[in-house]
This record gives sequence, structure tokens and C-alpha cells, in this order.
Amino acid sequence: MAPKHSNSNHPSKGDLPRTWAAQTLAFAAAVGDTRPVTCVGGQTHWSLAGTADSTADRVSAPSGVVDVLPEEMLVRVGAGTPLVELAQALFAVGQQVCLPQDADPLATVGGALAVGHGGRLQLKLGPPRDSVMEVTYITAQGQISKSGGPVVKNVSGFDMCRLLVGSFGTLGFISEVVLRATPIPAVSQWLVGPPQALDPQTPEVDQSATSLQTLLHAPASLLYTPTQTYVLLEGHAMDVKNEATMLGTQGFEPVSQGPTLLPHRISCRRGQEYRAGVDSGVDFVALGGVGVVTSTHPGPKPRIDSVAASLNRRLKQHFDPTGRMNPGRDVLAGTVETDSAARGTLR
Amino acid sequence: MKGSRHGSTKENGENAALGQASGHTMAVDLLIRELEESLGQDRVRADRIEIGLFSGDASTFDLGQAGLVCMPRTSSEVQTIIEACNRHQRPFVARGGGTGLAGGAIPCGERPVVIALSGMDQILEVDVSARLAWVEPGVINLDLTRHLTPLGYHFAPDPSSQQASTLGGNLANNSGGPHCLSYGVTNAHILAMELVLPDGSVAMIGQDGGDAVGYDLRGIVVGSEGMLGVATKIAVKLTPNPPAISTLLASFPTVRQAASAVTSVIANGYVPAAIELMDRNAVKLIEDFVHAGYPRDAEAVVLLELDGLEAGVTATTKEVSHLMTGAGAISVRCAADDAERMLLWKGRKAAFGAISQAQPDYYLHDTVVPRTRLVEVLDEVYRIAEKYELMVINVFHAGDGNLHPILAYDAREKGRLELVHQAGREIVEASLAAGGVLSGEHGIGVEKQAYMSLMFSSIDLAQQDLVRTVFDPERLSNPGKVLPTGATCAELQYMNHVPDGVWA
Repeated sequence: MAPKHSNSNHPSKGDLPRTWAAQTLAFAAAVGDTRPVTCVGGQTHWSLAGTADSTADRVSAPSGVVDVLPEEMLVRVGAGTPLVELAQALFAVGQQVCLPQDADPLATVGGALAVGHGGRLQLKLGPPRDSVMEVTYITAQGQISKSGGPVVKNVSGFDMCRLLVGSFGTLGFISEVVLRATPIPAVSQWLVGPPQALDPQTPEVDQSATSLQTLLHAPASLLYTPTQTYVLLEGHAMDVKNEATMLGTQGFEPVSQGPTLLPHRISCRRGQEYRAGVDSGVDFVALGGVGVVTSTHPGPKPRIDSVAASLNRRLKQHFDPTGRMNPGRDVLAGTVETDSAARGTLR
Repeated sequence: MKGSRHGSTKENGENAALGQASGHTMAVDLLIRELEESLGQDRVRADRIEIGLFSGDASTFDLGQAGLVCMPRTSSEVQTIIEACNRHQRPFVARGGGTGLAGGAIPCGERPVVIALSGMDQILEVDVSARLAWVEPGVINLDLTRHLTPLGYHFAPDPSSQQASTLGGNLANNSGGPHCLSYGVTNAHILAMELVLPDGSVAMIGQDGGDAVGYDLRGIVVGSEGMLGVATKIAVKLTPNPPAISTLLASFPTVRQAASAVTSVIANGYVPAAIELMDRNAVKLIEDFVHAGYPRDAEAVVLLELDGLEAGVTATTKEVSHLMTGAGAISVRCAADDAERMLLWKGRKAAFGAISQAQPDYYLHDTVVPRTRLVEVLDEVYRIAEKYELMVINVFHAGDGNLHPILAYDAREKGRLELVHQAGREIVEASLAAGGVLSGEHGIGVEKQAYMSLMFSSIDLAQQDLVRTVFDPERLSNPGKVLPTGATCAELQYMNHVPDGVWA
């Protein structure tokens, strides 16, 4: 639970929306409806999902925090807004969003959503896709379209927000989003302790991680490196102190920061992150409880069911029949389609 | 493979499909025979009583007519049914507990095959280390949580129908519930699924860990009301049970003050596990029905639950109580023990059943408004009810801004239902005017299909229709729902004129 906060710093609601509507229209006009076009953010993850066609026109989404609504726990923001700027606007009202917190200063909201990766707090805050309440985007036909709504709960029609997050801009370009915000906790404390251990009896399960998750009610982050385990505790001061004391008996001690995530990501089953990190054979920082290992080198190619892959291709064909949106990008780039005979198995 | 032609359905003389629809009889016979051979006669039903049972759901809409009811037990049987439907160009509708309130499971169009999934009710795997479970779609929501309780976990979405609604239905509707305020709706708790697509092919979508590969197909299927395929295995996230829980009941002299108190709690940075608001009418009916201990003299009560670790819960209980008092609460009571807590929740969960004491029928609405607009929209809801001389009972997820005005009426009174629908439309319009949305957890179904254009532009709707085209180009899976099309209206008109006993 968060302390009280002031909402005095958020932008006025005066003429900003009118200006903003003009920016959205200008963005749609820039995207157009004919020529190949690439949407550019901070280019901090530019090497992912194929290679951008350098001959395409370049556009950038509108930038700016449109409206901070702490009493709604929502924020409306242009996709071109740097993550840092958004974080500062929210910090002023005691809130945060689940987009990566330790991002490159150039990284933008739209870029983070186009990639769709969670940050160090994904265990607590969930993946970015869960926080997008409304999206305004430009279609391949250059039209402005909207999905979702500026409320925290919504099941009105098919949720296009889900398809656009992680789509690398291949279905449409996000212009503006409404994100769900959460209070910044009263106390945050990183601790560092001994590395995870693999139980030889059940090597497929990270035993220490399981016991950590049992010992702690809801850690905000569990990060495993080859040599250390980092835990982020958040909440009421006394609760953090009590859980830190428990961890102290297992060799953990306070530290000012957790490790930075590494550039490459490997997916694995939840609960098997440390094992997957060790198996990668390279340096890693694994996100415990969410099935992600970040590493210094690319991991094995991710697998996708062949029928699901076919659905992916049909989505692209229908939403962008001429292939003009972010040409060169492909959400299936670097993936391996699984034999359809494997279907019907649970994993 | 077993079964003779038409089997038991014909033997009991009540086959609704056979011998009456002139042009299609041969094709229909063939479809029935194929399905009986695959599933067995006892799991392919076409007698009039069962057709009637599976032609409606918990909504007030009486538009559907099932052609045939199939009761698969495995994924491959679901696939077999859908492949047969494709061969015969027959629409199909998957169905769980039938508890939907927006008509999402009503068989619309050319008398679809109903795929009743309640027999696929196995919890296939529980993996505590991965905090996930694989389940079949017919598992009842509360049964899963009961199964997980000894392990220290639960399934967080807890719709009021959780004693009867299934995980497959929850997935299709992206269901909510009181505790979704802090834990999120169903979409945040579904990791992956095996999906039989409308053409009969099978895809595994989503992951049981890690980043999404490709587009988030899982995310678009959750909440798509069965129009993009049928989930036959579902991986759900397990949520650890909180070590400490505090449940508060605050009573207020006016509904406005109660709603303002809710806004104040959120605006001050607290995210309780649940905040429910019940008005005077609701309190009276609940007290008469289950004696939950709600104060009868209150114009409104707020049921608020906090959970987490002990110190945080204790401190926040004091702070939130203080906020409630500051907002005008007459009293704030904290449940002393589990028994009292359960009783307070029993009252909330029994609210819909309690309405039968006042009127034989009710229409439960579902819209969401910004939390800061709750007071004014509630005022408008009462004004609309008064205008149409309808009894309104407000029991809703106030923390989410998720309104549930209940219009109680007697359907035997001529013209009453029409008034209820008119009032309902005005409530929807008032919610949209306040910046809200059509539905927070019940979905669109047939109920709000015509309202979609109030919220979305033709461009928005065309984009959504593209998704439908990608997954289901033949429009066989649960036709006539969600997206407003001319064809849908025509289908509904058509259905109203199909005589009983004819599977056209």
C-alpha cells in the first residue's frame, strides 16, 4: 500500500487534448496509406524481429504525457514519449507502470510496447500487455483506430491492445495509450544472497527458488545470476523488515540495487529459470517466477506451434496486405515451428 | 465407433431435426450419424427438452435455438465435432456452465451445434513450483480454488457465478469478480491454451512461461466470447493465498458518500483486494435473505477487503477506516474472525438470489465508468429507474468503477421487459457519456451488440472484424455475437420465425 501523494504536478486538462488530437492526425498523415513506412522510437531494441528496411519512410509517434490521472490509477501518454519522462511524471504522483524501469534513456513507451518485454518487476507488475487499457493506433490504411477504454476493466469487443503489444509495429503503429498505473510502495529493499541450487533428485525444478517463493509472500522481483540471488521486497516497512530478517538467516544481506538485465532473452517454463540460465552456458540474469532468462548471448530459437505460426502470418496479411508497416520486421523471425505431431501434448 | 442411425434421439420420438426440414434432411441426418459414430449415441442429443435447455443461458434473451447438443470428453472429440460442422457448414457454439448474462452462449443463426464442455472437467496438472495448473474447460471456477486451497493457492478471478461457471466460460468472457481489483481479470491469469480453431485445426497458443512468441494470440482469444475457437486445455496462473486478510464493512447515510469514499480510497493510493458497494435496496433484500449482519438503517454499505502481509494489512486497515469515517461513514466494522468475514461475503454473493424476494425477474447490467465519475453516474442510474418506475438495486464492484444496476421487474406484466431494455440502454448511454465502456465483465454477447457502434467507430469495428476473419473466415464459431453486422440482425429475425422441431 502506498503513502498519500500529491496530484498537483500532472498536466492541465485545458487545451492539451485539442493539441493532442492534432498530433494524432498529423501522425496518421505521416504514416499515409501507400508507401512503406518504419516507425522509429529510441532504437534501443532495433536488432530484434528481423531487420528494418532502410529504404522505407520514417515516422515517429507523438511524444508527451497527455494526462496523469492518479485518482484513476491511469495515465494517457503518447507512444513516442521517453520511458524516463513517463516515469518522472508518475513518480511525482507516487505511481509507476509496469514498463521496464531501468531502460535506456532513449527508450520510448511505444518502443517498449512494440517489443512487449517486461522488466525487473515483471514478477510483481506482470507483463506490459496487462497494463494497456486503451490504444489509439494508425492502421495500414492510414486510419486512426481505437480499442479498449480509459477504465481499469473492460470486455467490450475484441481487445486489439493484446495484438498490438509485442507486434513490433507490424499490424499498426501505436499513437497513444492509456496505461494502468500502480502506487509506488512505501519501502523497497533489494537483498543479495547465495546462488540457487539445483536438486540432483529433481533437476528440472529450481528447489531454492521454490522455497524462496514459499518463504516470501509476494516478492517484487527474484533475479538469479550464476553466483548470486537477488530479492526485491516491497511494501510496509515492518513487513519488509520481517521478510528481510528471515532471508538474513539464509545468508541474504541488503544491497543498494539488483543486477541489470542482459540484452538477450530466453524463455522457459516458470520455476525453471535458474536451470535454463545454467543450461545456456553463458552469463545470465534470470527473472525468477516468470520464465525468462536474460543473457549475454542469444539462446536457442524460440518455438512456436505451426498452426499458431500460420495464424500469425494470416494476421499480418489481413491487417497489412501490402506489407508496408515496418517492412523487414517479422514477429516470427528467428523462431522454429514445432512439428504439428507434437500438438496435444501439454508442453 | 458405435451407434446406429439417429439412435436414442429418434427412438424416443423427440428428434427435433428429422423428417421436417425438407431441403436439408439428408445432410442433417448425415451430420448426426457422423457425430453419433464418433461420440456415441448418448453424447449426441437432439430431443426437444435438451434442445430447449441448451438454447438459452442465464441472460434474459430468448432468441436461440440449438440444432443438436454434443457432449465431448476430449480435445480430439471437440476437434471431431468442429470438423464435422465444417464439412456440413453448420455453425457451432461452445458452452460451459451457461451462466453468462449477455447471451454469449445462446445458439444464434442456423440452429448451431452446441458443444457442451461441462463434461471436460479434469484438473490435469498442478505445478506449484511453476505456479500454474493445466485444466480442462469444464472445470468449475470454485472447484479449482477448492482443489488448490490445501496447497496454499487459489485462482484469483472470482465471478459471482463461480460456483457454477467454468474456466472455459471464464476464459471466453474474460471474467472478473470482486477480487480482480488488485489481482486483475482472467486475461492476466491465463498463460496458455490448446485451441481448436473454427476450421478444426488445433493450435497451442501462449506459453507456460517466458515472453510471447509472435503475436499475443492467447490475449486476443481470452474475452473473444468463443468466436475465435474452442479452448480445450487451459494453463492458469496460481495465486498464493495471502497470509493476512482484513474485511471492513462501512455504512453510509447516502450512496453518494459511499461512492465518494471509494474514490477517496483509490485516490489516496490504496489498492484493496476488493471494494464492493451495496445500496439500501440491496442491504434490505440481503438481510432478509441471509442475515449477513449488514446495518439495515444504512443507505449504502461498502464491503472492503485488504490482504497481504500482517503489518501492512493492519496499518492499512486503520488508514482506510479513517478515510471512510472522514468520507462520512456512520460506522466502520472490521470482521473479527473468518466466520464473520465469510458471512459478510455471503451477503454480497447472495445478493442476486435475494432479489427474488422483491420481484420474480431481474435484468443485471454491467458497465464501467471512471472511478471519479461514479457518483454522477449512480445519480443518473437512479433517475432513469425512477423515470421508468422500475425498482433498481445497486450491488457492484465499486473499486473498479464496474457498475451492476439490477432492474427488478415482473415479466408477466405486459410491456415491462421493453421498459427494462429501454432503461438499460439509457444506463449504457450515461456510462459512455461519462467516459466509460460497455462491459466490464459480462461481455457483449447479443445484449450489447447493437451498442458497439456507440463506443467504436466503423474503422474500429472493421479492425475487430479482421480478427474474426483471420480466425474464422467461415463465421461458424458462435455466430451472431459481439460484432454488429447486418447479417446478425437478419439471423435473429430469421430465428424468431423458425418453428419448433425444425432444424433447418
